[in-house]
Amino acid sequence: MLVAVFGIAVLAIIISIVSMARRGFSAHEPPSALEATMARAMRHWATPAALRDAKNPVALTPRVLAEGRAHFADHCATCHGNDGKGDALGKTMYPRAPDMTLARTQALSDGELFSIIENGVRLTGMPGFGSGTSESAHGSWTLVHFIRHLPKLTPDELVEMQKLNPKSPEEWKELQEEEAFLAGEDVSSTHH
Amino acid sequence: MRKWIAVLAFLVLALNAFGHAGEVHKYMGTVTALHDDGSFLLKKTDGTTITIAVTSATAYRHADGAAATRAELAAGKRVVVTIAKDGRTATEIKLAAAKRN
Repeated sequence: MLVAVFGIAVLAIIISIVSMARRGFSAHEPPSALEATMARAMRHWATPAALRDAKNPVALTPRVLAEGRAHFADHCATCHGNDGKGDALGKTMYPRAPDMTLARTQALSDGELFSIIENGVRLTGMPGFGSGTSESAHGSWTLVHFIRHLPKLTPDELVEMQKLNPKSPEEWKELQEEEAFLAGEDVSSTHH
Repeated sequence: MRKWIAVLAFLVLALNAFGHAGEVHKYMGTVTALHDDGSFLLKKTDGTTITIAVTSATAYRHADGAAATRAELAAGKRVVVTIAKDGRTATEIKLAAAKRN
C-alpha cells in the first residue's frame, strides 16, 4: 500500500514537472486546472475547522461597513482593486487574485473569509494580515462584511475609496498638481 | 524521503513570477471646442491640441469627488482627463469643484 501511494506521488510530481516544462514558467498563463484545484484544496485545509462554519461576530452597521471599506481601500485594493474584481496588481499574480464579487468567493463562509485574511494562503500572493490581537480580528471581521458588500458597491463608494488608496510621493504630487490646475493656478506640469 | 518529496512538491508549485500593471495616462488642459459626436478638443498644458473621445462609460467628476455631468463640459473649462489604452478615449474627466454658495 505504501509503495503504491509513493508511486502515485512520484508519478504526479513527474507529470507536474513535465507539464510545467512544456507550459513554461511564465505567470501570464492562467494556472492549470490541477494547480487551481490544488490551491483551493490547500486553502480549504488551511482553514481551522473551528472557523469553517463561524458566523461574523461583528454586527453590520453603516459605521462598520465604512470601516471595512476604508480598510480595504488602504490594505487590499492594491492587489484586489477597489471593486474586488482583481483588476489590479493581483491580475498578474500566479494564481490570479480572484473576482471576489463572484460566487466562488461569496459562497465561502464568514469563517473561511476571516481565516484567509488573518492567515493568508500559501503559494499565492495573499499574505496573512492577522497579528493575533483582538484589534486585528475586529479589522478582519469588518473586512468580511465589506467583502459581502462588494457586489453592491456604488460609484460614489468607489470614488471615496480612491481617495483612501495608498499613494506614492509622485502620485500625491500629481494629485496636488491636478487640483491646483483645476483651481485655476498655473502649474509646471509633469502631465502632457 | 517524505521530506524530499515535500520539498520537491513545494518547488514545483512555488515557481511564481510577477508581471507589472498597465500605465494610466492623464492629460491636463483646457477644453477649446465641443463636437456634436460628444468628443471635444483639448488644449494641453504643453500647448498641443488633441481630440478626446467619450463613451457612455466615461465618468465625470469634480475635483472634490462629487459627481459631475457631460453638460458641465464647456469651452474654456479646465479638465484633467484620464485616457484609455487607445490613447484618445476618456475613461474619466475631472472638472473643478463646483462653487458653493
